[in-house]
Amino acid sequence: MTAMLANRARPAPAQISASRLPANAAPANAAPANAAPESVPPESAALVSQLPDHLRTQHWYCDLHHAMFLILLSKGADALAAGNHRLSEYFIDTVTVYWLVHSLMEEESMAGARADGTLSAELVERHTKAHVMITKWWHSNVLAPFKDGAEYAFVQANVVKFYHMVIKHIAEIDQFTFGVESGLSEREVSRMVKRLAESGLPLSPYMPGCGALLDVLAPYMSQRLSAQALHSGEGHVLGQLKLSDYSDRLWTGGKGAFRDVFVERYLAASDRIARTGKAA
Amino acid sequence: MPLQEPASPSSAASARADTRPPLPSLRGRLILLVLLALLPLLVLTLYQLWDAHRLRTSAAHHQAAALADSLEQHHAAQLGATERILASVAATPHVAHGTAAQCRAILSPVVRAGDTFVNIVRTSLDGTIECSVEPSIQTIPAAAGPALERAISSRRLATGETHTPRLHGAPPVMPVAFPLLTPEGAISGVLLGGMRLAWFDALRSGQPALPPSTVVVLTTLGGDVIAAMPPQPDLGPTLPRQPAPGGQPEIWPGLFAGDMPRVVASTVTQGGLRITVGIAREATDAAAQEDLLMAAGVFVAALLLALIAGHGIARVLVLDPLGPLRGATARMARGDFAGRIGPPYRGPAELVDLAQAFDTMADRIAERDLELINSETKLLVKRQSEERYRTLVERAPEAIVVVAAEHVVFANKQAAEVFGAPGVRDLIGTPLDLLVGPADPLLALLEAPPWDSEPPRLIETRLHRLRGAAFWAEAALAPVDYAGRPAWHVVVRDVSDRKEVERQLAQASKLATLGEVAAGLAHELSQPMNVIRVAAEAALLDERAAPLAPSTREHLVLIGDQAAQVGEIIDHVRVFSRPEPGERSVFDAFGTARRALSFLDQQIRDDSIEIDVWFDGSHGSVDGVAVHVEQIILNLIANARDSLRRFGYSPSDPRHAGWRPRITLTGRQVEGAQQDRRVQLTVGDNGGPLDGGDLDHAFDPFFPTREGGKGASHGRGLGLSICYALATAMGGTLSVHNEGDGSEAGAVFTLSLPAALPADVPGGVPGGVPGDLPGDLQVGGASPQDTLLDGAPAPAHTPT
Repeated sequence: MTAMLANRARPAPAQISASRLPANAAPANAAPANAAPESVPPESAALVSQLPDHLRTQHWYCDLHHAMFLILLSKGADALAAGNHRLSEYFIDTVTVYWLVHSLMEEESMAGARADGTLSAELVERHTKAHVMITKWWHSNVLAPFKDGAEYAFVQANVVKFYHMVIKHIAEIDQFTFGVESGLSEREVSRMVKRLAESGLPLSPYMPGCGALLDVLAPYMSQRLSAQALHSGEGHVLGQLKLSDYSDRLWTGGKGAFRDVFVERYLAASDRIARTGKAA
Repeated sequence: MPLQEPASPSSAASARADTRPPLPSLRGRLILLVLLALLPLLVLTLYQLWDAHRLRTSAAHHQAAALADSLEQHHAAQLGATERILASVAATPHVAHGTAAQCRAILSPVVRAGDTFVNIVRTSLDGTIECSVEPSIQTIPAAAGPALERAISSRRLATGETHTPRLHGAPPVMPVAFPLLTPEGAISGVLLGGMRLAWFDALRSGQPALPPSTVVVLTTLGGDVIAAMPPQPDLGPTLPRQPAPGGQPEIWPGLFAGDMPRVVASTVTQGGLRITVGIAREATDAAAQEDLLMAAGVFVAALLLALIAGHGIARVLVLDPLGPLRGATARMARGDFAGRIGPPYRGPAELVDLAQAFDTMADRIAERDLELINSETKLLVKRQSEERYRTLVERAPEAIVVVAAEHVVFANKQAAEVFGAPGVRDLIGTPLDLLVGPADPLLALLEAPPWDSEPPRLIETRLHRLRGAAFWAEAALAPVDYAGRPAWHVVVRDVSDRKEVERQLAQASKLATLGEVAAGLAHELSQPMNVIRVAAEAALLDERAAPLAPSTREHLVLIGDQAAQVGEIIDHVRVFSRPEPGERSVFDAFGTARRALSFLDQQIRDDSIEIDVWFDGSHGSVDGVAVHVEQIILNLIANARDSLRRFGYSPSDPRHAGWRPRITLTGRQVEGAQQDRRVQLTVGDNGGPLDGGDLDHAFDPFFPTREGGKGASHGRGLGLSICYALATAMGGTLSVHNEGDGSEAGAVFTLSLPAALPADVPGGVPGGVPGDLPGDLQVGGASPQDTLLDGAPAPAHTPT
């Protein structure tokens, strides 16, 4: 009755047979301590890495990030399927950073739109809540299990799930916030993009300040990232910021939206911030 | 059925408390389980305690019985010794036949030497004492009588009833009798002795030693107490009960009042004694209590050990593996659906299965939650969009109703106003036949659900307000799907005012036409009348040469007078038929032209004629009569329409390929010196050029320039002449010329009117930019939407 059979961690290296690895998927740099999954969910084969037209919003940064997500997730699923630990970790870490950066970026755009009165509080609240939920889901189902040594098949299946989750988020929330369904004019969205470009926020893992951003937004995730996850030597130095002049919380539930957390935890104690319209 | 009040949170909490099961804590239950495992041990221990107690009671009983038996053996031995003594004494002749002195001399040493007898006497057969060691004894005690008799009868040793001497501390004495036999074997007498129960007395000195808390009681067979050892002051004359036969262990509550419970055993001795031995039960219980204490100690120790072990086992085997599940459940209860227990999953197989099932469930809930947010977001945006459209519809300046199943199912505020309803809700649900007359074809049309592909329709008809008044309305009908069912979307425009204006214009036009006819008639008739009058007067003048008959002269005079009278009448008619100068004012000629166009706009559309409107950026203020300008433009547009109708245009007709009938209305201000500024309005068509003769006589009365088109009335040739008269009356001009080539060639009528002087324009300068003018003067000019972003006025070109 008390058979301790349930540790579903990856098999030990000795248990892995090289013959079980796909012939064309065993990279030379694959971590020897990991094995290929026994089965690959069929969905992964259907992942596309190019952003389809119907998912394009009017928001330039959103589209850029969305395109990156599709690439990173599809490649990450492939790496997991091939049992390439190092590559899988690279993609999972990068998606983690990208997602947090992306969420804050979108929320800063929404804060600006709230200041302009072009987006409703209800819409922004739902959107930011979705960011938090998706982030938690990613942490619980992909990042933490992968770092804790879960089976590749398990992680890969969840990466594929996350991929579809992102697609749905783009189609059903982003499009209604920044896209063709939003009712926003091109000029209004362009104003959002312009503000972001001037904000000084890191907008990709390759920009300085991502580390500081992650430490503030999700320290529990940041601690799990590999040392190579942040590609900039200045990952933990956040530069001068110029955020939109909107001080209300975007989401009143939980601990708030990422931007709420960012403003409360970091900006409140920092003088490296200037609100739009004020001297930096 | 009365409604039940919803349970308050506090009552729900108390209900939960009421239904709270005993030992709600899993840890408590597990510990209880461990304790239950100890229950057999407890039962076994209790059984052993009980059995030990039983054995100890039995042992005590055996001890008592053994003691009683031992005493009984002592007693029998003493009796045997007594018999031997008495037999040897009885064989002595001095005792059997001697004198009293001789007898006493023999018996005294026997009594004095030992502790067996208190006295020995020799009696006759009748009990008379013949010899006694104790001289004071004269008669035998009553208790010795039965022994005497039994000895005589049995010819051997007999005993009597034992009694206790009155001396304190004296042992009990049993009467014994032994027959004295003669050599012939006859009984000559009896030796009677009082035999001390020495064995009993020996108990006092501990021979044998009594166990602690042991009482030996001598009784008669009838239960009368003889003596007890140790002596018991509270011992009654009889024992409270008789020992049961058979030797089973008995426990008495006590041998006397105030005594402790005792284990009792008894035996009957020779000579009619009962020896009862009672051992205090507490003596046996003491050992049992020691056992009990020992067992209880062991049990408590086992219990404590079990509690500690149960706690540890519960923690290690159950609670700790349950911890992650419990934490994840609590997080989920707080609304955090992202928490997961594993992988990896650890613990017993059942808990691993439970954790995996929990993660699967949490995963599904999280996905559903995200789906919910997505749906809510879409719904929210659609609701906001719908709100915007609803606002547009609600605040539309035109009445909008949706009709389905012969009832109004939607209406906006303007519709309520148009139909005279107090509010929108009062109009919704109104039967259609209250709004549309029963004979109106519109009613039949609206009562039938529309086809999906049914084209939109524009119908002008009379509708009814809820208060019953009818009004002219223009209804634009389009099929829609409303709440899943086919319906008519109807835009209703109250055109009562326009119809009235049209009616008045038509009447005015009729009057004007009539006046022009009258003028033409007068013009045509005045000359013949003049001729008639002049001829009659000439005939009268010729009377000088040839006298006329009186009747002829009268007739000629009558003819001349009547002709003169007709001429005067004609002159009056000519005077009255001149165009009415009207009231002059400064007005917007472009707006007036637009208004005139609007009267025929729909008819022109119905004929598939394209209307091209173009005004420059000026406002076209003129000094004139607005109604006349309106009438002129209306007439020119109607003429153009009639000229185009004759082609019977149809888009599908191959003869009309590449061509579409078009009417062009333009307006511009011609700059020049202040007094030379003119406002020009043109109405043109592409219905072909006018002939040269037509161009020359276009404004002549009764000169029809073209035949009417299909379905149009033929022109009487008066309209243009009236227009010309009206234009000239305002100081303007009306001219016509041909424009265009080929199929696009047509006539263009130009109305040129003097522009208003700046001083006459309220609040502005005519010819300036529209923004300089008051809003009410911008009707005919370029609208704000018509201006370019750089602020320069743009031509208003509105193809419709």
